Amino acid sequence: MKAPLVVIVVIVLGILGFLLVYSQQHDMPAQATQGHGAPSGGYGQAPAAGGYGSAPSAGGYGHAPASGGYGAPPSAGGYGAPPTAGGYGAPSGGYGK
Amino acid sequence: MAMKFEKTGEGIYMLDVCGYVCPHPQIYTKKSLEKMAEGDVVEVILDNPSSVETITQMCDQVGHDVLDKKTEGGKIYMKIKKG
Amino acid sequence: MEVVDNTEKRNKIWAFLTTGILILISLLYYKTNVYYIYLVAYIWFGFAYGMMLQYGRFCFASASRDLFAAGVPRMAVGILVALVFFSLIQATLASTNMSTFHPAPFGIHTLISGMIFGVGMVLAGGCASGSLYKIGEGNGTSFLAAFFGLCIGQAIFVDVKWFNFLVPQKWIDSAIAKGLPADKLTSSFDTYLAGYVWNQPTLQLSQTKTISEALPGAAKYFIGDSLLNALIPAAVLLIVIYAFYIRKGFMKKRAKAKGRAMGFSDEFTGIWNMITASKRTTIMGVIIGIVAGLHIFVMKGMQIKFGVTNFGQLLTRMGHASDTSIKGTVFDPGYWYITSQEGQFGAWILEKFGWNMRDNIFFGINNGIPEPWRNPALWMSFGIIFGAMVMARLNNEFKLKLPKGELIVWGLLGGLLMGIGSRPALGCNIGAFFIRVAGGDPSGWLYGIGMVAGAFLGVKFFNWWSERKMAKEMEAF
Repeated sequence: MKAPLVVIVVIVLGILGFLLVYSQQHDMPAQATQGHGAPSGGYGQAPAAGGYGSAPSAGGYGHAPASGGYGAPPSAGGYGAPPTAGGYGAPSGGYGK
Repeated sequence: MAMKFEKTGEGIYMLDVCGYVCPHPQIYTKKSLEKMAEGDVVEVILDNPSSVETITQMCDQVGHDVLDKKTEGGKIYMKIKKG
Repeated sequence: MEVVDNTEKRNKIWAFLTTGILILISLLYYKTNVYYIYLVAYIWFGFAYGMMLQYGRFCFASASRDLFAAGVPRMAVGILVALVFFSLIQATLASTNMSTFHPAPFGIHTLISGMIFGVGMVLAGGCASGSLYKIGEGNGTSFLAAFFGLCIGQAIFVDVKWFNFLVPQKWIDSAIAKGLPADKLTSSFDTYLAGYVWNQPTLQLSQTKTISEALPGAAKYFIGDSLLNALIPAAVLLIVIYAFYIRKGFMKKRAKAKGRAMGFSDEFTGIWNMITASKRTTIMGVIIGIVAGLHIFVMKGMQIKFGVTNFGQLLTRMGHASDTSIKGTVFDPGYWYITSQEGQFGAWILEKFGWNMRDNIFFGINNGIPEPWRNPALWMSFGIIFGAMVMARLNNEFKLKLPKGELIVWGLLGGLLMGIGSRPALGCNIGAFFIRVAGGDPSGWLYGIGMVAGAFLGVKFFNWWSERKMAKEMEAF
């Protein structure tokens, strides 16, 4: 093998090696834990076993996902659920008065 | 059009399949060799590296000789003698 | 000579420049948010795949053609070797609960879609991954196939109602019964997915009742998934290929050289000779198998590290919920996979032209349409292109090849068939064949059989076509 090829192979191996080690250190990095609201409720949450193409073994299409997920009314706001307060069609206030 | 197969001399041929991808170059090479007489030589010009690997092995198995193989400016030139 | 040296020098510079820019991009991502390291992992595994595919001259498209017509088993051997190693690692990961593998619903559709894909990859001159790495070699035909077929064609295919005449009422009823939001159940493909595919069974040998009861612990993965589904079939195929295509010629040569009767040990030498005949391809097969296994390990590790099961959750945490589907997911296979991300890219482009691409299951419910720079799997595809480009540059095999004449037609048509053929079975030759076979899902073989049959048809057509063209050329002399 030619020298430049060796250099690039070594670089790629180094990066993959880093990713390998990094991905197995399961203490959450500082940046990840702070600040971000926990993804509770809402339609932002994925069902337990997810991806397209996977068998709907758990969660999945057609079943209501364990938590959150589309199909089940999200706990707060979110897709398909009527807004708790205000909004169109709410009994108090607004239209007709 | 794109592909060229010419007789450039007595028992010497030229096959130009530049621009072609798998499996065209190897199909054309095989067909050219079938049309030639034993001992004739064809120079194949192609630019699809993965075909070169297949053509080399094909010649090895059938008994053709790869006389020469060189890469220049991204094109590969192969001289094959029909055996 | 001067000219050649200059190109070599320029190629080297380009190779280092490309790698350097990708490293820079990776660092920028990491700096923006540590979560992006998830995406960076996809970039570099893609890069590695690209380098290996290019170096090993992988060409799924010609695997069966080379074998049937020319008797060259190079690619078939390379693929089977990769499969053996990948399945062993896959079993190791499964037994330590580090696998991201899911079996797929199977049925007759798996076979049919394999066939369509098989014809497509022969016409286009490369499978889905193959086309990507050939773009890296500068191949314009592959670009047409990937861009117009896999990206745009595929995105349109999953969004249109054009195929409703193929959809039986039974599927429509079954799809509606799933209670999906009506505005996401609009295309022919939606009805097919929800009304048919989701009703099909899935099978993974280690999860079957017989095997999981008979074999405790890790053994069920190694024996059920790896040995039964991958190793034994691969070995049988190797022996069959040897017996049909290689044995006769090899034995004749060897008997002549040795001047004695041939025995059993000579058969083994013959098989070994066949496996090592194309060292590049076989060695890369081994390494690709191992790297593909490590890829799963890394992605699973990242998921555990960040406490997610899909990159969509990280995108949402970073405030990019609009990238995701209504389930909050994006396409994130967790392993080597091509085609779905190209479809997303196509959909992203079509959206810019005012097309509503989210009113379907594929993008709206499952995969989302992330901005291309936040799409992890798409970055894997870019990685393959750039990895192959770097490798081709280093070997002085890079050359811009603009498509011309008939090749434009083959590229477009083949790409379109690949785009369509990869959807009904939920994957291409990698996602639906390679990964599934190694993971213990027999439906992978079904797809493989379809693919070989389709490739055979494609090659038959090309044989006829090239014979015609040769005859025309020969008229001259």
